[in-house]
Amino acid sequence: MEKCIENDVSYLWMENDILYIHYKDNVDIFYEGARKVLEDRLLLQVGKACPVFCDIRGIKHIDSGARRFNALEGSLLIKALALICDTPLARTFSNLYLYDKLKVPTDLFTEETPALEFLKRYIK
Amino acid sequence: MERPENKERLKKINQLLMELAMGKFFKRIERTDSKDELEAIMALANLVAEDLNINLSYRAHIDPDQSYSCTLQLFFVLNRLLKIEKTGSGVQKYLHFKEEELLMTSFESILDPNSQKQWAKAAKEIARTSRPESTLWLTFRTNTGLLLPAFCSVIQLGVDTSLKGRYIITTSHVIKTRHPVAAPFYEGSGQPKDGPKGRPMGRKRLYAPEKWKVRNTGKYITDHMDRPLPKLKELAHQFGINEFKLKRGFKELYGMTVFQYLKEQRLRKAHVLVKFTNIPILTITAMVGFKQPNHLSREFKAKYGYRPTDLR
Repeated sequence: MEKCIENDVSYLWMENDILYIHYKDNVDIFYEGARKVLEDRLLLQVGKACPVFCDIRGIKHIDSGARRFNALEGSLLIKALALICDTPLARTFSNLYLYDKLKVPTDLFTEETPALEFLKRYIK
Repeated sequence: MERPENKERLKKINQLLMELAMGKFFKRIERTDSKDELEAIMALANLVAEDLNINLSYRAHIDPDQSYSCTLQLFFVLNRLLKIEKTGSGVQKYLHFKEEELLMTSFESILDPNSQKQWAKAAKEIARTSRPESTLWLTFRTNTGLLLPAFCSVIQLGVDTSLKGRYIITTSHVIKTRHPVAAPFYEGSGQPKDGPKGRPMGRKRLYAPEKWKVRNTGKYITDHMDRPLPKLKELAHQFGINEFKLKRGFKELYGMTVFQYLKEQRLRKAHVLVKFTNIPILTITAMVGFKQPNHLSREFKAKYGYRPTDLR
């Protein structure tokens, strides 16, 4: 694992050409939080698109400002996206994101291994 | 489902849906740390209320034949110990507390836990800097158990007033006034045109399925912003509506023309790429669908007040 960045709502790091985002437990995401995650993500990606592994199980609430931001700005420079969601709450947020987002190959997973298998197809 | 805490959560969902059914979109359900099906429904109910509040009231269904006004929602006077000394009538209407129930109680006692922390921090900051006015989002607990998030203005009264050392906290919201817009606002003759039953004739509104088609067109434009926009007639037909409805729909849903919407989306994407990546501006220009970097630069400056190169 290379450099890990922590902000108020998440941890982000790059590992084997996959960008990992792990949301902290019981966080509320507003516009500022969404913007910070994007800023930190693009810092780690150094301008290159890559597959993203995103564990959203910790999210308690995401407001409409953050959702609108994630739908456009938050979907930039993503080759493919694996969302980890194993609770009804996380699945609800995932389904909303699926409707909002830009055209990015995205799939929902309850476990890490198949999610990583899906993302590996998009490396390089 | 039979457990008492679940019954309580169901009751809150019911309360919120009743508020929505009555056209009141301000309230929210206080969320728990659970992540089960019921919690997912609570989260969705809050999101629906939030979206209705933003879109239905202000944008998507705004009625061009009505006028809208900003009105006071909540009003509090706090003493220097941040206890409530006076409330406006909106506090009873929206929070369901009588004034006497709140007098001399601390302001933070009617906030949700997150807002209590924010308020404590903000109050310290306001007192330290002696800033006369600040704004912040706070979520109020209502007496019925629902939450009411609101954008608050906090005014610190100066030494030169009889209320020195006190604070005024207000929130406002937009309401539809009873009277239609006055004559000068009508296009053409300057007089309202009456419909068959004496009602002013409004412009034809789009039906919900047509709005979805417009929304899907918007999504298509965002997904293909790197390419030139097809002719509007072709684009409209691709999504099963006509050019007129596409143009009208964009104005109604997004408050702008199709071309303005495309430019807005392109500039949002360009701003992120310029600010947070090292991708050459020439490449970004092509990625977001502008033909020339100087065109991007000009539009960028018009929207953000600075050029892309100023961010590098």
